[in-house]
Amino acid sequence: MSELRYLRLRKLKNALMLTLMLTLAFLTFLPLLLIIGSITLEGIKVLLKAGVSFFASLPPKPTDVSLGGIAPALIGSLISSSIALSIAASIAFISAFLTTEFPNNVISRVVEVVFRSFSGIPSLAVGMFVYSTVVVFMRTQSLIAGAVALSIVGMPYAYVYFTSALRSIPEEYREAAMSLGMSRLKALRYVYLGISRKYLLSGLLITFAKIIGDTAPLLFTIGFVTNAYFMGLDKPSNALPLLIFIYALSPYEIYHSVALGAAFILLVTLIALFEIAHAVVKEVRL
Amino acid sequence: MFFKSKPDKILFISLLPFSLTSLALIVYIALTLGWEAREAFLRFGVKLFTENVWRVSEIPEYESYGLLSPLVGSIYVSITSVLIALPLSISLAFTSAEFLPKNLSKIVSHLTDVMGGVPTVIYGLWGSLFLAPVLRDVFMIPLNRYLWFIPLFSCTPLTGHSILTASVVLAVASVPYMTSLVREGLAMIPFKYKEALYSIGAMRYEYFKVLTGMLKPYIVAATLLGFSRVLGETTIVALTIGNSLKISLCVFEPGSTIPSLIANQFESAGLYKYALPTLFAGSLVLLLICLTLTYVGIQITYKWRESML
Amino acid sequence: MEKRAVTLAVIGLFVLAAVAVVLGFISFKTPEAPSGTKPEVMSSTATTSATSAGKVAISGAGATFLAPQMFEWARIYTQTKGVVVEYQSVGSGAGRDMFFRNVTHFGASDVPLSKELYEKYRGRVLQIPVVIGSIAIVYNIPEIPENTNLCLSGDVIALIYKGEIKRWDDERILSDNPSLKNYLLGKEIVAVHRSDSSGTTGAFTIYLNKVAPNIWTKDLVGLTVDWPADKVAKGVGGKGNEGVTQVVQTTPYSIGYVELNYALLNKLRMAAVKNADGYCVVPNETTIVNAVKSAFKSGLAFPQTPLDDWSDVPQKLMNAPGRDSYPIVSFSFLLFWREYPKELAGAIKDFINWLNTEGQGKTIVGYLPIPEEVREINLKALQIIEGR
Repeated sequence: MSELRYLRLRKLKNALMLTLMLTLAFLTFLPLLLIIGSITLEGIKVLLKAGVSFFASLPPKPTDVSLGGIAPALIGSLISSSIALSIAASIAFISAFLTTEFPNNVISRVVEVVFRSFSGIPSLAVGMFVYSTVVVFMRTQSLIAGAVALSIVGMPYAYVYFTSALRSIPEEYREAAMSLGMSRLKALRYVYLGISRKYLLSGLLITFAKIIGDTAPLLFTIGFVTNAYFMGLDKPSNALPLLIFIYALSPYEIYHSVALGAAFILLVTLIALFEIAHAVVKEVRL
Repeated sequence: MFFKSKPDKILFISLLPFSLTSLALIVYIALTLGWEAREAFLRFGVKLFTENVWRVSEIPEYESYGLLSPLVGSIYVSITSVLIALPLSISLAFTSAEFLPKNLSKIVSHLTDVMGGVPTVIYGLWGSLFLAPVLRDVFMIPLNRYLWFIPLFSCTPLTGHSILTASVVLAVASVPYMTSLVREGLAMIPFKYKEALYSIGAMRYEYFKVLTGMLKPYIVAATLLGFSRVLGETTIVALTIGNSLKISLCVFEPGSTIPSLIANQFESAGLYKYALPTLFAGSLVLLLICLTLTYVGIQITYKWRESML
Repeated sequence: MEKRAVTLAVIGLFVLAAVAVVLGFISFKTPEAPSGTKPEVMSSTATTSATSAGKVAISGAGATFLAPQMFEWARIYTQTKGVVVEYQSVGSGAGRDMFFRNVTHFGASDVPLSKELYEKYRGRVLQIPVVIGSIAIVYNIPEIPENTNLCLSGDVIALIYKGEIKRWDDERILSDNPSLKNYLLGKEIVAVHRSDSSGTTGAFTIYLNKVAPNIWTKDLVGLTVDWPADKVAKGVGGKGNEGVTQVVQTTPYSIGYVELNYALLNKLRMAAVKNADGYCVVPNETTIVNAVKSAFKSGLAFPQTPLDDWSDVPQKLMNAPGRDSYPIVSFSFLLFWREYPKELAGAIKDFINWLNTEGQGKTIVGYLPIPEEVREINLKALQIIEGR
């Protein structure tokens, strides 16, 4: 009898906990859904009004009637984030491999602490740092300076997701690989990459998302070009989040619309990136 | 240094230069920040962190700065936001990694990824334009009306831009990161424990209880790491916290953090002699706090990981 | 299969990056601008290298307030003259820093160089006021009917921000607004101010100090201020003009100060401000331009060339005499070097010339053209700037 009661109690607790957890998980997504919903709604309106030329023209003047476009920001964002991603991801991946393979080494621990502490530098301070080194040295703001700042900001993200991916490999596989006499590099190539590729790729994409979506490091480094599409890697350029930030805070209705359209495009790009990633890499069966 | 074999050693050494670039970079950044901050340290000394003033003047002798309020604010906001984010992250990690059926769990981890990818500007603008007034009307005002005797809720909310709003938005934005940390911990618990648990007929509740029990040190570490990540966030806080230099326990009051102070003051700090060095000093201190916290957090993870093996 | 896909994806990303790098080094010309005129974008290094056809790009950075007007000017100038002008809104201080470090060609600032800085750069830097800005006192009192205006004197505004006038039915407010007696209820005033450092706050506090030096003392003047109202009354901060706008819009019984363009575009209720001659005046094109004109005629000594010391001009512009003068006005300045590399000097001169002639006819809502007197002073820059 009491055993039955005990079972009931267990069941009750179980149900309670599950509901609580699901509610919490749902609560977490509520803001996301709200954000996506409102930006999509407003953004589509803007895009319908602006048409295809939104991707190909220069931003409007405050007094313009037609919305113009965000071409310089699109070009700038794509180039600077791609460069930044390749720098950040390669350094982070090598370091992640090192620290997961040799976890007990003093140097690994230092590297780990350093990488994770990078996120503690306010991204604006990263911008200030790049400004007072690269920008002042080059005597102009530039795409390169922006990319350098972004790569510093992206590195800790890439590192965290890469280590977490490499560590999610069950110890059994590691041991199996080693017992087959594989070298660590071979094990990485043939075993670890295969098992952890989903996490690795999602880490790569999240890093890309972080990089393409960050404003503060670009504020003093990349410039804000609105009257030319592209002037060269060593010349000022523009970026989507920067454009959103500056236009959203201006008093002009037309800039608010452009900012909303840009935000929508940024969001769609990010979601598409994740979709592609998940479509390419199907769930790994263990 | 002990290596199992010679190839190991060669591999380690050949990987080292790449990893050490990060070390070199952080040292260089710290030195640059310290160099730019030197005038503030020389002029104000310890007072820079024990006083709460922000008095600018074109005449350098009249300038006076103390970072106490943003320093306290940084820590306060980070604690609140981590406290909000932690239960969310734990439940998210468990639901997505252990409880949900495969295809649902895919969608959840999918959404988490998207959440991690949403730019901070968008979170910030959303928090400032949408969340702040809503939180004020449906949450802060009632709480203040009925629970005013609790110091946390004792002040009348005016604009909605407050420590609470900033913490909530920060928490939402940091959930993906913390979730990935918890998930990392979960993945490191050997299968045999999980199998054993199910084989003795443990319900999900008990399963959760046992696993979180095992994870406890790891969760503490994740909290520290999440804390240090939140500490440096700029855009979100600057847009939602209200940016006032008051020091208050009440979460409905506007406040400031070091990054938000930098964001607010950087634009014209260059006009004064000591303002910019003070801002650099602030970010240097932030960096040092982060290094310490991260170090402790990582030590805990290492200890825990060893105990798992 | 899957493994290959991942490898491909990763390689793809790297290739993308590589292509970007290559693309970047092969700089290419800009396609035609949407309006149909043809700006040709040529690359040129900030201050050092010459470019082939003598065509250059001019870059500037600074005051956020000036940004929309600069965006407008830069676009029109780029389209009509074929010289690309770019402006970045980073704030007065940061813009000035970039200018002095030669990262940009010109700076923009809401405040002139201080005496100390002026001495440091004496004879090397030109200051050119390009537009008149004005600060509107905005309020949100739902009871006041649309067709009537609240009138506030400088003293009253200072007392509100000091936290000494706490309620809307205060005698000192009522005495200036006898007709509004029934609408000004005993509600507490929420005094909204900027939380970030800004030229707007700078100008606002200069004004308060000038009209009420005993209430608003010198130590409360600056781009960031330790607001007394925050401590003794209901004072709150908003980040940026848009922040203050938003707080005033959503908070009944609040008062705030914003740049005129924010007040106009967001349709905020603006208070009339009592001027030096005792009239209540609302900010608009006539009253603001009048204020600057009458300040220049008032016998105060204004600078005669862009190389002069402009540091006390903001103070002199405030509370100008005249029945029709709005008392809170300010200049926004552009900073230029006296010397530029040869190929750049011509372009810069042409830009300054254009700004002070045609450009003045292209100001947008909330920004007012500078009067003839000031343009004449500005145009002396054409004789001063030289190529080397």
